[in-house]
Amino acid sequence: MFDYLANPTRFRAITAVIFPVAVAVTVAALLYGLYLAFFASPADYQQGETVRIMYIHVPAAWMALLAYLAMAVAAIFYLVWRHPLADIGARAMAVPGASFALITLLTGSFWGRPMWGTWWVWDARLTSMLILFFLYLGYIALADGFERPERGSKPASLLLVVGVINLPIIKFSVDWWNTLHQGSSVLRFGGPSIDPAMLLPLLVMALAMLGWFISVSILRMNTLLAQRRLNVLEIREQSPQRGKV
Amino acid sequence: MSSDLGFFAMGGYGFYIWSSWGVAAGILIAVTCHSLIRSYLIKEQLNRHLTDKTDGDHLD
Repeated sequence: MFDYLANPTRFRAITAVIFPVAVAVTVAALLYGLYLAFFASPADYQQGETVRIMYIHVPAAWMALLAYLAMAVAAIFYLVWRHPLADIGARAMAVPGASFALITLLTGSFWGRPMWGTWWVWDARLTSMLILFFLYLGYIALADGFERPERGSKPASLLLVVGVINLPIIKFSVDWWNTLHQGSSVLRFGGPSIDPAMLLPLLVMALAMLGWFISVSILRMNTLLAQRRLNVLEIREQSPQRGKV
Repeated sequence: MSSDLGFFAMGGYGFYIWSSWGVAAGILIAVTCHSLIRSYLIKEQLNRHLTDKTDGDHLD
């Protein structure tokens, strides 16, 4: 499967089909999700209208975890099988993934201020999410911190794999420690405890974010492939003798 | 008119709700624009490079 995709021309042909579908899903799900989030879903009996922050905060948190997991899988493929496309995939997903982590932190603050009376607290869930954001930043800095990008691939991939330990900590932090953050109400043993009228907009917004993540990651992967091709051509031009061999 | 104002006021939590959505939209739009602009610039540079090379080969 991965060998099949290793050919950049074949990869571009496949993504040329997936990309417009992902964009269409993003636009359709976003429009429907906005309608559900602002007009069709009720206010919460305890939190009132602030519950509408949940429709952006929770899907962003799911996507921040999913993106990191996808990058870590790609990093394992790169470290074990030296698959160049896996490295490019991880690099392409880093900025969209970091964006989701940042959105989670900022929207969480905007939700926490009226509900908890504070913008920030060093709670287990919030702190572990902040660490995830720093892991994203660390990966980006390490991967792009070398003059030749390939040299940053190995240390950055190792950081990704080590950082996976943070994912279960984020997920179960609300169960393992006493936290201000509320417990899981969707992805929990025994099924979702959230009302279906609120679950639907949450899932539709998550689909919109997934579509956006796939679209932007494909776009960035194709850009990185073009960048590498350009670098090779420039190196060959600088040393014409080697280029002719 | 008053129902519109009520909608934007969001039960007195309008600042927090609209700021959350605004910040999220801003980040997603910024990343999308950055990715599109970077893609355009790199592909333009690559095309120019390939065109120049073809012209050079032709002259040789």
